[in-house]
Amino acid sequence: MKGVHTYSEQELVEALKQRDGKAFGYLYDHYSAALNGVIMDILQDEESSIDVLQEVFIKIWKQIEQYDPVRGRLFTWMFNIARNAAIDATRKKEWQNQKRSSSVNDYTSLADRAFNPAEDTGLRKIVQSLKAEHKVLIELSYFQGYTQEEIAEMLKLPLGTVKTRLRAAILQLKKQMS
Amino acid sequence: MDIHAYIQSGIIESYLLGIAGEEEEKELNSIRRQYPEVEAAIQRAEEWLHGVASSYTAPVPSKVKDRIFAVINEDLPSRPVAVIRPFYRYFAAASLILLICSLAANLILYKKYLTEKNNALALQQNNQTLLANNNLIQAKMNIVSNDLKLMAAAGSSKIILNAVAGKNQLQTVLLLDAAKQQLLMVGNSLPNAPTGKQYQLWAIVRGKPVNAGMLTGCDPYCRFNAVAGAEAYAVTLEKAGGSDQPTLEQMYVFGKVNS
Repeated sequence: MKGVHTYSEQELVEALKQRDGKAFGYLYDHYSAALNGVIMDILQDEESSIDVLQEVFIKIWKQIEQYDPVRGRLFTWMFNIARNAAIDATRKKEWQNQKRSSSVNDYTSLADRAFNPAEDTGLRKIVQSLKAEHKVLIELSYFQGYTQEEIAEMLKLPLGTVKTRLRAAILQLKKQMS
Repeated sequence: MDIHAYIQSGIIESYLLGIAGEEEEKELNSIRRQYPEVEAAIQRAEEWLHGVASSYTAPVPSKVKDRIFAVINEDLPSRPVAVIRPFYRYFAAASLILLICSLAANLILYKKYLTEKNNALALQQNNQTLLANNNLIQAKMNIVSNDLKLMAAAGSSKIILNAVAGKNQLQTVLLLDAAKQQLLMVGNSLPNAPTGKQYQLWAIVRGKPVNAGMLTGCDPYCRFNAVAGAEAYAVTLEKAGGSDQPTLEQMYVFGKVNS
């Protein structure tokens, strides 16, 4: 009776917009592990990652109307929701722990500390292989969600330098991954 | 524009990872509309991102799916109930739940109301105290203003009491109104009286000291009744409450009345 139904991306989005629970189950089965990987990479804590993942899927369900296929793929959209939610969660956690540092040295050492070669997985592991100046930029922008302006301010670098180095870092990262 | 270089610059990947600047995003969104190569490159990069993310998965415990579905089930179209059961039981149960919820809500609101009421009362009290203080200050201001008028009027005079020998630098000024009734002591530079002692004002009438009053409640200045026929005034330090006769060796300031 119960045939395994597969959806094209377009069909999936249509079904989700129609509030189709089965389609949502399919979405969850296909993407939860990948999105959890993105979240875990940022939060580095299984328990809180699961909470964020739950929040992310509920958000996807509630906000699917806002997804616009012209602007990008469904996965890209969900990836952004997941990353933003994870960063919000780190900020909240940091704030609660009163760990927010304010001086340049604190920021850079924070960036260094965030990498743990023994336990790092995913993107963090690859970021490890980058030059220190690139590592810091990826940590602050991708993993901690600071804007380029904020990073320039923290590291006392010109905004232009931050921009170029960040792009170079991304290209290095991409090279390492392929 | 060198589209090839633009595509290779890392900007597309930055954009997808959510770390591009606002300007860069705007630029990319306008360029992708003009150049199909850029649009195609973005799509390739999205594939790349999806691929990377899919190779770094983190397993999720199965309870998470249940928890998510528990939340979204409320949004799913409900299925009709197949079996009809006595309706009143559900109704009674629902009513009871509603009643309990309502009681709880009432209790919470009532507690909140009490706190707010107390806050309001405290504020009101505070306000009243401030108002009373304000009235007091205004009353004082009126008195000072009247005194000032009185002492500035034609016919009023000033008696300067200077330090006697051994009481250097002290000075006290008495103001006397035109009707020679009110005496105000201003510009008093006497040191604070030691405990158990008080300063006393004396009028000298036909060579004899007459008690003119104690220097008490001198805020912002002391007020005395003028003594008729006073030729001079003096201040001595006496035991608290005053003396019948001045202790002359404790005289601090002395000044003659200008005739």
